[in-house]
Amino acid sequence: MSLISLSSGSLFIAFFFYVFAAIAFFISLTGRKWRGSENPQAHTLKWGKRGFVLTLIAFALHALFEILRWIAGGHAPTSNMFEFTSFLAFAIILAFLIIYRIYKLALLGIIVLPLTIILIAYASVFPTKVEPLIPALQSYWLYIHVTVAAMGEGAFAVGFAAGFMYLLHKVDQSKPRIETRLLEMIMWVVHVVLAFVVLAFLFRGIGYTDQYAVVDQWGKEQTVTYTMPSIVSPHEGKKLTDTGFGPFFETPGWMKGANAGNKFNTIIWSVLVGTLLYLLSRLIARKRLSMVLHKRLNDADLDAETIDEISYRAIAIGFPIFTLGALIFAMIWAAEAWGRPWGWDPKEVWALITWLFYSVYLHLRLSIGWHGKKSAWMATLGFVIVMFTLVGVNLIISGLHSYA
Amino acid sequence: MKDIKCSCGHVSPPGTSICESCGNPLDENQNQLLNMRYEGMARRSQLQSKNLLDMIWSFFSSVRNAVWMIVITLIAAIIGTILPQDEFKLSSLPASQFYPETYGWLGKVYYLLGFHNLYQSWWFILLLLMIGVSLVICSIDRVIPLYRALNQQRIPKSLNFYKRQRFYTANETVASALDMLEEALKKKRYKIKRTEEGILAEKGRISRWGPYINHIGLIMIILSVMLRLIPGFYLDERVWVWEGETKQLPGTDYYLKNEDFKLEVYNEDEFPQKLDIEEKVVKNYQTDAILFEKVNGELKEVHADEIRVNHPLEYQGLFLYQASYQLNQLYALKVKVMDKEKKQVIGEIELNLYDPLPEFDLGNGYTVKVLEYYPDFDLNERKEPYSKSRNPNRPAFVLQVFSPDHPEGEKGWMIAGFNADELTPDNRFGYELADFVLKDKTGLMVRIDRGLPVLYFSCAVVMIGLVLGFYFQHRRIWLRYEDGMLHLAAHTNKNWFGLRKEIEKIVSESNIGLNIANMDQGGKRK
Repeated sequence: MSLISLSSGSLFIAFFFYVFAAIAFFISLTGRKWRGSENPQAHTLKWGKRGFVLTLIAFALHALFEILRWIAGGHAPTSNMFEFTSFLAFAIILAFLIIYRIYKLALLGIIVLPLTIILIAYASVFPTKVEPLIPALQSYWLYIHVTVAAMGEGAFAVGFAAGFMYLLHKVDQSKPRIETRLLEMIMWVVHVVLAFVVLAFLFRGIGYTDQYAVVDQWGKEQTVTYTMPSIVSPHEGKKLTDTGFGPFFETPGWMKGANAGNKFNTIIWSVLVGTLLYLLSRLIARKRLSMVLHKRLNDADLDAETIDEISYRAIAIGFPIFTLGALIFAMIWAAEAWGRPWGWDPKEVWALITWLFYSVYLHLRLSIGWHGKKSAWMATLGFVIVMFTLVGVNLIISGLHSYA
Repeated sequence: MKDIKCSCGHVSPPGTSICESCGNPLDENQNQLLNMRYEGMARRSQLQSKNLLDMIWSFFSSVRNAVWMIVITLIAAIIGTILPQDEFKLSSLPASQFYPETYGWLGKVYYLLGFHNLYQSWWFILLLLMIGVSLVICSIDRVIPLYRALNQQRIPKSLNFYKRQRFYTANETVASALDMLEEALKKKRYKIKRTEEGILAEKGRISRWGPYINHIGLIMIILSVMLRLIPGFYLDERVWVWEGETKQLPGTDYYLKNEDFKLEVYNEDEFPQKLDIEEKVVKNYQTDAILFEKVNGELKEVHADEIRVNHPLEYQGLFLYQASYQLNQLYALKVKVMDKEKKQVIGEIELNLYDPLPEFDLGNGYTVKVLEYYPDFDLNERKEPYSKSRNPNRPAFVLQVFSPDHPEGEKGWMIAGFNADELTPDNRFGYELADFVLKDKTGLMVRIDRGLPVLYFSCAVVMIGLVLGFYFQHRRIWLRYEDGMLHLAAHTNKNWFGLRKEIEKIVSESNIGLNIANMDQGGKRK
């Protein structure tokens, strides 16, 4: 067996241990009632500990994956979308373990673990092969800049997880209001991402493709391959294959790039199926999904002040790391590779936006006194910006960083 | 505003919220936790605005205003990424045409508002400078009173000060408890100030300077960028150098010779995994370069290096970066010079399309002079030749051949892709295109940025500030023994959780059995 398949295997097993850990954390919360004879607090502690041990095992396997892939590939596994996203998941768990050591709050796992699982699944949708490095990436700064930036983002993710948990716990669910709608929107987004992952693997599994002939922006004819049945065709594209159904309409011309049609089509599929999944979940729960979690969390005698502090603390730990990795190391590398420390490339700008946003968060919390819900919403929005910088900028805005 | 007089008799300046002498809170909210920010010291910005300077000072010293400036900058930065900026638009169209044609009405609005050059716009730069000013004024406004307060700390006498801290507890105990606690605090490396009836224990004060050090670093970053305005500190040029050519680097006294340009692609067997990609993946492109300096009109070799991506040539602050390349570009024409009468070839000349030699010696008394050169030949309305551009799209030469029997020379045209014999059918000498000379050329960025070391130093200052501010905490514990009661109060600028754990340890180590279970009054804040 080659090192690469060994490394992929360890990520695969790690993925399942993450799932088991997530289940253990859920049982620690939901099982409090169905074991009436037991002391609920002891039950939460016991299953929380089990979840933590499972997370540790998964984390060790995940680390093995990173190390083996580094050895096999000859360069740090942070050079494409699959590698970076799975490394981000690794960084989130690392931050979670550090925060756990300080605060011993295993329950945080019920948000962190699902987030990690979704990220690894999302990463696996992208090509997973080890690619040779193009000249721009041949620098040790690739390892330093990307890993340190990811670790900062991992801490921000834990800050979000705690903030989100605080909101699920504290937002009044007695009647619908703006806050409950926003929480539901997050739940809906989770379903959309899930739908994307499931659809991607489903259609890849049955080997589905559609092909289109398009003319790219340089006037060159290209063949575009769709990985999901076409609902929408590329802009001025001609369908070459006789597979599936559609297209029903055409991608608008302002979406740039030969592959815009495929991306747009994939988004439409994910949103449609994700919405269906969400409605199905609502139907089963018979109430707002955030309300289900709200009730469970309220039963668990959480110390809201501690969760609030964890959220802030994770961000406070992450902020210097993010500054170092995503801005300072980025500037040093950019000066070496591109001849300027800063060039207003979209990814650079979004790293700056993320940094500015978290500096606003810190000023509001430390100088103006935003605590509790306000602060938790800011932590949530901050993570939305982090994810947009990761996914959105690569998907929508192209620039020097669009290697993925 | 008037000076404030405390019940202890001490008079503090207006804006003070904690008596500088006895620690008695001077605000009116007797039931709330005491606001410990800046130790309750008066700040200049709290003076009522009198003149313009005071008003500007209070505007820039407000954190609320600073947050607004950051938020506006943030939103502006987002707007700048909606459409590609001018420099990234990958089109030769002028911006006024490109944006409306590509993005419709949105592009038109974007262009008209100047968002296509947003990050270089005067208002965006003004915003950044305003944040810089705010950094300076916010810091000065707070750091001076804070420094004074922390330096002249006393053990507060006023019990109100204790009662209104977030961590507070009072226990009946013996007077020697103070000594036992002092020992335990020292073990935790607290600095102790001791009087007969009280203790002030403090550690990690340096953490309080973190934000200010960080802010100084940020100001230095802005200043390091402004260093570019000093002549000679900043240069940003591009240059194309043909293989074999020696060319002056724009804006400098240096010359560069491109010895060789190499492009390597990966071999299949170099991939760790078999990939199904059709195109070759570039492994390396590099220029083998020699750098010369012009001294007294002569070129002197000063440095030689390989220039690769991620590996610039560096010589005394001059940086050359591998930015781009063009392979197999038309460089010169090989032209046969014919004697039409004798029907024989006299010789061959190589006409460089970028910098043709003025004269060629063909031997046997034959010479050819290049009189005129039009790289992109065309005729204007008056049927006069001119060049449409400097690119050799349709090179045309006016040549003059001298021979032993033609000492006065004969002029003739040599136009690529066109038989010039038809223009001058009576000419004795003619030209025939023999071959093309193709060469690689390398595109280099020529950079000088003497502010760069200052920028890196500033970044280091920022990091020191952030680490001090976020990974260290300023913790203080006040103890006061009065009428058989031990009052314990504690404050930290962050991480209350850690402080609670530490107090629990100190109390259990000192073995005096204080009840501190309910010392956290934070919950009552609402």
